[in-house]
Amino acid sequence: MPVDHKRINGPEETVPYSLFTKLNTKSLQQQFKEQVRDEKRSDNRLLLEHRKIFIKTGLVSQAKGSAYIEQGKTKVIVSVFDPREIPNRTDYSLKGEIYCEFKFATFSCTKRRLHQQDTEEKQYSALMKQALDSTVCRHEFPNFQVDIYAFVLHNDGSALSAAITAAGVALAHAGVPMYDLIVSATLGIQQNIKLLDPSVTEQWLCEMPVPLDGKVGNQGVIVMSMLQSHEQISQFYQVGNLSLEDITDSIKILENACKELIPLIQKHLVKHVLKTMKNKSEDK
Amino acid sequence: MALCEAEKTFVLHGVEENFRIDGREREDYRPMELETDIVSHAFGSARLRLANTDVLVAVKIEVDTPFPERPFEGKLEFFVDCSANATPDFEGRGGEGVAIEISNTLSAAYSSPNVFDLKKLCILKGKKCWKVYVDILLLECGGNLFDAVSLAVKAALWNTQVPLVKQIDIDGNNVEIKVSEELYDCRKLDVEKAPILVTVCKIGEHCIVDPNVAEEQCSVGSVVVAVSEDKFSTILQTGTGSLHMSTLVDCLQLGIKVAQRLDAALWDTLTLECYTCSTTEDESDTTCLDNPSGVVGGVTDCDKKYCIIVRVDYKDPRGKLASILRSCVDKPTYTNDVIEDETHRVYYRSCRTAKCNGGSGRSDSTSDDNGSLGDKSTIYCPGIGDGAVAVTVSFSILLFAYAFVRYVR
Amino acid sequence: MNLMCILYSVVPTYQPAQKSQNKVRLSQVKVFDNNFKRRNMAEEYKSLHPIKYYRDCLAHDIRPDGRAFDKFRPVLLNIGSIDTTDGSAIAKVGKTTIVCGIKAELCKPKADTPNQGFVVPNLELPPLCSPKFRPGPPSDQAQVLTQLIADIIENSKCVDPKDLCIYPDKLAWCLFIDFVCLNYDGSLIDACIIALVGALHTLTLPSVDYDPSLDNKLVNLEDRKPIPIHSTLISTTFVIFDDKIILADPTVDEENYCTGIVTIVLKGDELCCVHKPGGSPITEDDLFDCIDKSKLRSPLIQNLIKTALKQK
Repeated sequence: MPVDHKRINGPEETVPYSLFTKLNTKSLQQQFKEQVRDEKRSDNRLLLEHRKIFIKTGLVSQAKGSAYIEQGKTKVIVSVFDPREIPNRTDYSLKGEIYCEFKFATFSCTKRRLHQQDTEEKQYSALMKQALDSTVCRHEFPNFQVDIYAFVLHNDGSALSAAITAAGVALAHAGVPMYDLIVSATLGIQQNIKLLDPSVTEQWLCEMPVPLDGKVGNQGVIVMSMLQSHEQISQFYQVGNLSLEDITDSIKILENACKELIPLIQKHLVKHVLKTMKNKSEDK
Repeated sequence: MALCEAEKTFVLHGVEENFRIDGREREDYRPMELETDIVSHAFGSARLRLANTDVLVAVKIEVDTPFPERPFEGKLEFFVDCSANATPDFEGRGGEGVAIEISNTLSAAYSSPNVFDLKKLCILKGKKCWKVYVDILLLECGGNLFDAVSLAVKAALWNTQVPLVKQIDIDGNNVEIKVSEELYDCRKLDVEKAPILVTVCKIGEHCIVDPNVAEEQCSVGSVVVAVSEDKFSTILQTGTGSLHMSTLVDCLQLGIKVAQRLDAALWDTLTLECYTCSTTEDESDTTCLDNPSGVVGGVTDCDKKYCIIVRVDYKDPRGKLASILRSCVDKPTYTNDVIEDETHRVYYRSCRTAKCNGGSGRSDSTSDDNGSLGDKSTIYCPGIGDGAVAVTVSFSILLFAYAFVRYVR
Repeated sequence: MNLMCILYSVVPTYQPAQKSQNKVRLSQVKVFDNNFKRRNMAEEYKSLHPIKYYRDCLAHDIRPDGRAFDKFRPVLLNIGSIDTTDGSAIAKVGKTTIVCGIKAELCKPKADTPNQGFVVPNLELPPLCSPKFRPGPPSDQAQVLTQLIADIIENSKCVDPKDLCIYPDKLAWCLFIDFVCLNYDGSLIDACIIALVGALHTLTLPSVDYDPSLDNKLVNLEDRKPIPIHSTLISTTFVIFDDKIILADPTVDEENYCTGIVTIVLKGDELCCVHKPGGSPITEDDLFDCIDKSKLRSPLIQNLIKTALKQK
């Protein structure tokens, strides 16, 4: 790998210490059973129970709009900036563009990440753009580009969903015209067990086949973003190995999950608008 | 290419009438041509042409160290390169976005161990593994890149020869690997379950597959599905639009149906059907000799290049059968020859069309019903001529395959 | 210009389904659009003639945010909230927000310093924190500040690389100290140093059993110990406005329009580093004055760190 001269580089080769701990002798099945036991998860949630969400807007005063979301331990901050002319573009585009950048903090995951965007982050950026492209009224700002940056401070699973939900709130906070509020949810599937809003361990266990009771079966992770009032899916991403029935079931579960999230976000935004109005009338 | 509103309406109406601008129905593919083993320096390669879309895939293999957190697994990496000539949009760094999207989707599609088992690429736990680089070159874009690329990748991986490891020397932390020096001492990758990507495009109220460039522009949104057997390994929504839930499910249904057909057609093209049976003079059952199609389980889908017959006759009494073997191999010992010793005469026959090794073995033309292929110097000699043409028409999918064989010597 | 008005004079126009009873309608939003003009007189002046606006303000002995010249903004510190790190802290100085996360990894020491580990600090100024920054490689400012922080850590010896050695010439810790700016509103270094001290105090490293003959290492996760911290650093930034006025703890605008900047880093009561990269000169008296002011601030921040640690 080329040396990054613009940063301070450590020694050439470093290894995470977690590789040298006492060998983890637990089988995947045991690890999975530890996470999910009798329809309950390790944090006492039900299988299809979303974690608590905390949203705050206006954390980044320098940005036009920003939102900070905490979903369980997952912490993501998203900021939205003023539209600017699309750089390096000669022809005129009738629709505005969305630029998304998704980044994990180097210390946000168990394994240290690099400063440069890796392929996973690039993929997530593209998925975020996919989700927001059909949410924003892009014809309102032709030939302009809105920059959206998402930064994960702490990844405890479902980071992409959290980022997309927060991006929707940040766009609203910035006053960018949108067709609808966007919310996103993640579902992990391991055989017949479906886990809504998986934590990082659960997500990891759903990304590979785990033998349960001697059987290996379908597994996968689905991220889905919805425009609730129009009943539209603006982004859908699945990995793993799933049958059509699994997926149709999952779509229903995720739809319900999104429906439950909407009032929370609406409530927050209404509160924010009322507060802004109050502040402005005090200024008078 | 930009379309005006009238042109878009024309395309849209065509889709509604189930009669698309190039005459296809909604679930039809354009004709395809597939060649394998065309890059001599690569471990495996394939070139796929889907109407105007042209994709070249080459596979390279190296010995590498496994990731410390996955000591039992090898590595598989996809790299997509867009030729600047493929489409005007790719000039400069224009193709980068497409390239990343395709390579990420392929990595995601191949990530499940049910689809492609990386453990089979492991040589020595935690120390050595094979790293497979799949280099994809987009030569021309005529729409529907995902599907074309996935077919070409599967064909190239199928074509890939992994050298056999003969010996591993461990000295403290140093590991040395000796690879078999024999050119044909190779094994194939197991790609039977490798995913096929299908782009389902929504135009108007209907979903179509294999959109051309014009149709891609008319689409409001599309779904790329990666299907392995009867399961989805990746689903990705592309394009700028959003879809209703029921539309999404419709798209998935269409996608899985088409992908399975496509996969079957590809597999038919890649594999060679040969008679596989044997008999000797001591056995009373001579079905294998007289009527190989009558042998139960006597036809195999080979992943080899040649169907062969090896027939051993006695010199005295002249023409008495000692044994006959019908099989398939990658490299015949003799392509087409008769070897004699003091007591025996051995006939070696090889050919490259489906079920062509059904003949007696004595005559040059290996199959009796394939008598036209009589001239052995041009047909059976590897490296010369273009061998056989297998045409598979499966439902409405056309898949032409020209298998070119070139040996690396 | 017109476009911006369309976009931003209107407050969030989210429109859920027609059915839903949404209390805030666009008509209500318009109400404060009319107030917009009056309220924005000052802001318009500020955006058209920023320097003049500042001069006018400062001529009345007050800063635009209402602070006196030598007043600091409130400081917030939150420690140990990110548990994927080995030590972490979030510091806020006014609106400036810095997250510091420390991750430790194992490595081989350098041949010429066989009994030393590594400390690798990096400051990231992502495009997220301010419209000034664009995606891509680190900006010049990020590089300069990273180097400054690295120098401060090295010179102050708050972490001694010798403490990070596990087995000479074979195994040592490498501390990756990553700072990320989430909101850029001036006095970055001050916030970084507070976050650094907070994160270092929460840093614990697992014990390692190393067998040099076999090169075997066994990490004991249950047995985590803090590392010795030799000094508590406090940094204070001042800017020089129009060559004479000195403002403490500047905001980003003050940093942009100033003519010089001074950062003073104290190690306990001792002076550790004075960073004055060019700009208008400062008299000796003024510099001593600045140092005195930072000495006054130092116990306050030390108290803050102590309180934060106690609460944990």
